[in-house]
Amino acid sequence: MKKIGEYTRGLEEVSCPVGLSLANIKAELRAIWECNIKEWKIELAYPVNFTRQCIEPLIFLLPILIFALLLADERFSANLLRLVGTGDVITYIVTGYLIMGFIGTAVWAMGFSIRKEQWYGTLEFIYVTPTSRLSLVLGMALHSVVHQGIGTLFEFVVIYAVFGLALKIEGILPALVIFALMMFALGGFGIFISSLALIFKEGWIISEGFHSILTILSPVSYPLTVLPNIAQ
Amino acid sequence: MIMESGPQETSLKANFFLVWSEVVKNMKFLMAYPVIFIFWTIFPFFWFITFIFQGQAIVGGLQSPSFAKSAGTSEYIPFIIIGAILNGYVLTSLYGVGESIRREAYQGTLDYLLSSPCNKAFILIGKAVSETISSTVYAIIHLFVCVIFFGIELTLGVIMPIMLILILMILGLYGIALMLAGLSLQFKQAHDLAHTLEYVFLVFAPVRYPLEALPFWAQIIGRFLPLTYALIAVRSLMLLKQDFPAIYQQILLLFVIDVLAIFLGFYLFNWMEKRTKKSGAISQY
Repeated sequence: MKKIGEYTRGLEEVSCPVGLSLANIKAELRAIWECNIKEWKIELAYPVNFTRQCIEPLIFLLPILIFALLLADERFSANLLRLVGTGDVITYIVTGYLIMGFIGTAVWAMGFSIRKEQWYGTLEFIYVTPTSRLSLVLGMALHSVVHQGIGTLFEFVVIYAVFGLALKIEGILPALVIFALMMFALGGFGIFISSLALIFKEGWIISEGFHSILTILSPVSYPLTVLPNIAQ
Repeated sequence: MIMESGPQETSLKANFFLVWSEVVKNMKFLMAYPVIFIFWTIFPFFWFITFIFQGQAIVGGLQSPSFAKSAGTSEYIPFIIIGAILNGYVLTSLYGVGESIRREAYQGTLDYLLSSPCNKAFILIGKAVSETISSTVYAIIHLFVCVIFFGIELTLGVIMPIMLILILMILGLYGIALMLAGLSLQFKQAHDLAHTLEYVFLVFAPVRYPLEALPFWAQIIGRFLPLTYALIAVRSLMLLKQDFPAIYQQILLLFVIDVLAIFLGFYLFNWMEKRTKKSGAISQY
């Protein structure tokens, strides 16, 4: 019987960079980038799927907006004005759903990034690579965020062109700062969901559950005050 | 004593057995994954409850005079609930029947199924019947909860007409699902096709809003969907308190769409089946 050493003879030993050195950070950044590129290559191999996913945020938003327009008189709601300080139902709902799209990304795309590798049969291979697992997830998260960004941009442009949005220019920069902070939290949330998706084989139910509950409990298309006290 | 039966009777029995076996198989699958049963029972509530909260934020009450201008009723909550319950059939038909053929391919059983000496249409009928049973169980649970918690009024007089409308709607939806199943044999991406069709129903059918809220060109697309006529008819009976004769036109149009959808569905499925058998691409995925 051969010893382990006989199998590994001739193989080049690779030293894994550890610690907070410049070389290590560069290597991890490269891993994040390569993971992101790999995801894009897979994504763009199915152009129909990619196109569908890009228009999906808009398709889901349209019925919500049409319903709101029917309820409000000429897109203005006195009750909404009293509750949140703006009576423009379209602007209020669209801004909520633009952010909600990224929460959906954290729950669905980031959450399923690791599970997908399991389906493809490549999870073991990427796990034994000499790189941090966090870098692998961050690489996939980078792809998910850019992907969602494209969908959100398309959604924004169409809604702006069709319905028009009353946005304050001076509020855009602070909003982007808040948005960036939210993305960090969502990254952590995505990693949490991805671990759950690995444990529970019917992970889509976990993701759908989180997404639905977050949609109800977050002030996306209505303020928290309309929820029952316990839900608030 | 052995009963002798003619080939026609035997064939009828065999086809019935085929449908029955398919129903039993699908029910066993459903029972093996109780979490999926729980999902379809609970989650549809989450999908429409946001519309109720949204309505309360915009209107500040349970009625909207602005909504009544196009919907005919100011009560938006029952309007949304009826739309959500009937839309449940769309989701289960598209993802249940439409994707079922692809699921057989994933499970590695499609080759055996298609090479078996039976009429393939009855396999699909079996799948459709089992989906109808499970969808109806979910719909009854949803309706029961909505009657108790959301004040939906359901009188005995409208139950029979609603059942007729539901049967006609389900037939039409399964015609569309057959087309989807046929296309998925050739184009493989069944999930994408099902999603795309779901979007068409979500936007162009009056699920969340009346058809009149859409632009004229979108209303024309909506008029080709069986769900549109079913929703108009059920809402007319339940919300607008109209009589059955008042909705006969919707039922007639729904029937015409059913005939067209079922004919096209079977034709497309048989054509795609022959095509994929010839190309040898049945079990590719």
